[in-house]
Amino acid sequence: MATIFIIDDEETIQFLYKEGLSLGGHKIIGTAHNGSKAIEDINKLKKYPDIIILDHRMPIKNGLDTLKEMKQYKIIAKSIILFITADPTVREEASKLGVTSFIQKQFSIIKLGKMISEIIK
Amino acid sequence: MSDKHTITDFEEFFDITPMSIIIVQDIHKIVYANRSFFDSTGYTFEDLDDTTLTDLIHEEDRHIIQERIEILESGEQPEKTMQLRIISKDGNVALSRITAHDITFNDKRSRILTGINISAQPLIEQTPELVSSLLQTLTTHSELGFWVDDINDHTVFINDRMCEYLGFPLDEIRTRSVTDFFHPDSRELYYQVLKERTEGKLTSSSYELILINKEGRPNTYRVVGSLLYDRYGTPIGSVGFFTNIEATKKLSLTVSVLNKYALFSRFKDLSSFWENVLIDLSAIYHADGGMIFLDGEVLAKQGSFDKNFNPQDILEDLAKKGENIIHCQGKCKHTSEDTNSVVTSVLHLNQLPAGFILLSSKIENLFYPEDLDLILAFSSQISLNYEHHFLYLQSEEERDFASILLDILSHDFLNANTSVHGYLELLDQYAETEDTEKFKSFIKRSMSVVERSERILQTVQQLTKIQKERKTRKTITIGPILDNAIDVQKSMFYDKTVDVKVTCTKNLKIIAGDLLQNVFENIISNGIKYTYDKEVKLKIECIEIQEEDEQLVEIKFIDYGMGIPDKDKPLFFKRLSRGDNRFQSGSGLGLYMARVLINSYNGTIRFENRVQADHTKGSAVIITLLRG
Repeated sequence: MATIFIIDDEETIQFLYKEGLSLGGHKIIGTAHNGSKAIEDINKLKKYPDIIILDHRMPIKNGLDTLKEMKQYKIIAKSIILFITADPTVREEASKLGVTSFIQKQFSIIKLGKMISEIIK
Repeated sequence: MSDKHTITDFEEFFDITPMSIIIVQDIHKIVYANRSFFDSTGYTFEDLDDTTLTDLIHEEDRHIIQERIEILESGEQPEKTMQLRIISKDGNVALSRITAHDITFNDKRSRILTGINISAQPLIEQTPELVSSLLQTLTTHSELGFWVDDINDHTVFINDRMCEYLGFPLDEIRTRSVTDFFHPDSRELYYQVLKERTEGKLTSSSYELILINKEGRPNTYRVVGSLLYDRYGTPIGSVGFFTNIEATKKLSLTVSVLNKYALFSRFKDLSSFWENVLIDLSAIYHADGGMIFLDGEVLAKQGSFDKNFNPQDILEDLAKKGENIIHCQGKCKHTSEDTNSVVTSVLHLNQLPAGFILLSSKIENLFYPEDLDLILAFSSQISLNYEHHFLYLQSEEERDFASILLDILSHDFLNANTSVHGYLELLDQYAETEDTEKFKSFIKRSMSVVERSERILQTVQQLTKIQKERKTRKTITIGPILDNAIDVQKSMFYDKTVDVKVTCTKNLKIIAGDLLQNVFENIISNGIKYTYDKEVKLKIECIEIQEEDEQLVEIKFIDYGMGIPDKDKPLFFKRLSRGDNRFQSGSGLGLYMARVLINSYNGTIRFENRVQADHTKGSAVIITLLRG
């Protein structure tokens, strides 16, 4: 079972993560609509989440900018980031910032749950 | 045998050079002289046995040699070049420029002196016939014009080519000064050059002068000029070699002006762009008037035009005749009373005559036939550049539009699909359970996502309509459009009481397009949506303002809702910027579309706080449009 923090601006997608990943036995410990709020909330947590699901396409602050800030706060070193993008250039940038796990929409929520279980093994 | 060269090895070369060469040993003794020396001084080799160097020099200049000898004896080197008067065998004096160097000659330390006669006196003192035939021979086989005048600007000699350039027979201009033919712009330069020469700053120079020929046409010449001296070194006149560079200069300037104006994007103000084009063209072709007319508008104008001159008529006339360029020579009164030559060259847009470049002058024969070709080529190229610029802008716009559509499809639809796919997977997982609440919730969510997809599609349709119609602008009365927008939006919020107070002058008109109501509706809808009270209060005010030369109308939509923090205000008008999830109509395009539309009507849209220092007291959306 993994503790998961979700950063995505779409409410319906957030809800889908909550329901779908709970089915796979994972625990959603927080959600945020944008990067700034997410970093603020994660820093308040007693324990860093095992997994942070981070969407790149978000208004105001995108996934890459959020990652840069997360690196400053050393969140990348404490949690595994699951970065959502279909853009190879963005993926390369994210890799340079330390991200190793990527997914792209559209995906199966059930398979995502299984993938997370494999990652934290 | 010595392997060193002796003077004999060089003798042949020394003899064919026009410079006089002598070699001196023991200060004064002349031990060698070349053929040019003997020819120009009249001495023979035998004469030199009894002649010292000093004997050859004018009495008044002998001190120069004496001073140089003293410097040499002190072990130092004098200046290499000197100017001396040399006396020839028959007593004539020639001003010579002499250069001296140390050499070893016949194993003995020697000085070699090379001299050239720089005195013009022999030339000027010859009979005019002789000078004429000499100079004609010198210049006939070249394109060079040749003019000699004395220090008081009196003409001494003009060759045939120069007469041809000016269009006068020699007899008509023999008594005139070269300066009589100068274009006013060239006089100052000429006198400046002459002054510098007389003061010794420049002995010769190369510069450009504009001379006006018999027909009144200005022509640019590259002139190489030099002072002429008498035997005493006093300036007695000047000589100029003239090359007519008018055609090549016009060609190179026309090309460089085309290059200069190749990229319209560098010129933000297109009206000054065309003014600059006209100024440059007039300067190249020496025109004193001109006009650039394009797309029904006079874009640039120089000089005065007859009050009945109608550019649209001129264009229609050109189109009817099917001519690309028309040259009027003689009285061209249709332009103005004192105009005697006009070139009108057509500007094409979409391969149709859409305007013209007109250059005019009081001079009847200002334009050469080759000028017309150049002006025509210029007009064709500049209209192509102009067209390319707008095609480029249009393609950029289309690309932006395509990119928005692609973005909506790849992002918003992908999100919607991911959600629906996910909820279907969850429904499948819960199919065997009896958790109907979950079941219903997933179905409800799926339906909401599908509805959202429909809204996205509507947005795409709307964007396509905007793309098609945004260019259509007309004068619109604000009142009825506002009333319609208010009525439509009131009916959408059946659970709220909406009170809208409108302060707008009746019949106030603005310049906009058909989709203006759509923009008004969007703003009113946001104002109602984000006022959480059931009783919504909105104020709409129209204010007429004057900004520089423009008459504008500001339309203010004031709400008493939750307001927007200052830092977020600009973000609401950007694609994908939904701020705190408000204004999320379909795919976050509501206010983005409003901005695109208002900008396409040459207007602006911005947010302000209703109460300046407190954003939580509500917002004001301010649209500024041109008054109709």
